[in-house]
Amino acid sequence: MKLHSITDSMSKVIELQIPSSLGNEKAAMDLSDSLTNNLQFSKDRQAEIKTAVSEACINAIEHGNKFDTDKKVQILFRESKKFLEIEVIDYGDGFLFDKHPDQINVLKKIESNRREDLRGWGLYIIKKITDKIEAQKLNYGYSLKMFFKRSHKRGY
Amino acid sequence: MENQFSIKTKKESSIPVIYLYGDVTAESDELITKTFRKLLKKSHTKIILNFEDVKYINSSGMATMLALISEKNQEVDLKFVALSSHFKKIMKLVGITDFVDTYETISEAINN
Ligand SMILES: Nc1ncnc2c1ncn2[C@@H]1O[C@H](COP(=O)(O)OP(=O)(O)OP(=O)(O)O)[C@@H](O)[C@H]1O
Ligand SMILES: [Mg+2]
Repeated sequence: MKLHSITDSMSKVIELQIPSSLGNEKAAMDLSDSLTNNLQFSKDRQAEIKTAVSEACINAIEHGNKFDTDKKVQILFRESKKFLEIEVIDYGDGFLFDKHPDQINVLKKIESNRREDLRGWGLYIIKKITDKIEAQKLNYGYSLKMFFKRSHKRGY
Repeated sequence: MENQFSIKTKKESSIPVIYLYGDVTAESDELITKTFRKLLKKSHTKIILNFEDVKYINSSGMATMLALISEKNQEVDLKFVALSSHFKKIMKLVGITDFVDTYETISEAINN
């Protein structure tokens, strides 16, 4: 696991890299906690941001890097005046973020007989929690940027 | 980094309580589901899950909870105890709380 801190003219950037196996998202969650605490987000909001970080990292580990531990997931925390921005980058092909549904029918999932149909909550939860989100295909991978308003003192 | 997940099942006032210890993630799915199935076979009308010692639940854990809801029949009441306000909120977002009642304490869950 690697941790860097860079300060450019605009903002402070902290970078973390984690190997692509489940459980490593916890390092990003811990870092999220300490940063959101320093930035004085409310306890509720800290927990929500931590969950968004966790789900984005899990997706990058699972769908992006496909559990290849030689590939790292890169997490960048940027503070600007208005936002805490958290970018999660993997080496995969990405997906069509705009096609992802905003609502999910939980009853339909429960009534399905296929165990894998019960899944599919990560992005839904991320979308509900973030103030703004940007997904982008890079020439070497995929980036998901989550923005959290610094003035947003209460939970969603 | 690994968090060993474990389970203890105990009867309180003849109602089975599943105590969860550790993270509710993909890793804990099998143990939770198996434990729950065993209790379902014994035709209890109420099953309680205690989250007091759970600090982390992710989307895989949400799928595990939905699996319990889908496997039980209507006669079995599933009750969740001691969820943090955050995870209660996430379970509400997902829609789990439409099928499960949540309580602060085990005795509240037993008496309701
Ligand atoms: N980083 C990513 N790279 C490629 N595909 C992705 C990525 N993140 C999400 N996806 C795609 O979007 C789908 C929905 O993601 P989401 O997190 O909502 O559900 P899931 O990961 O399948 O299940 P869950 O998060 O509930 O465990 C995934 O199944 C996958 O196809
Ligand atoms: Mg996911």
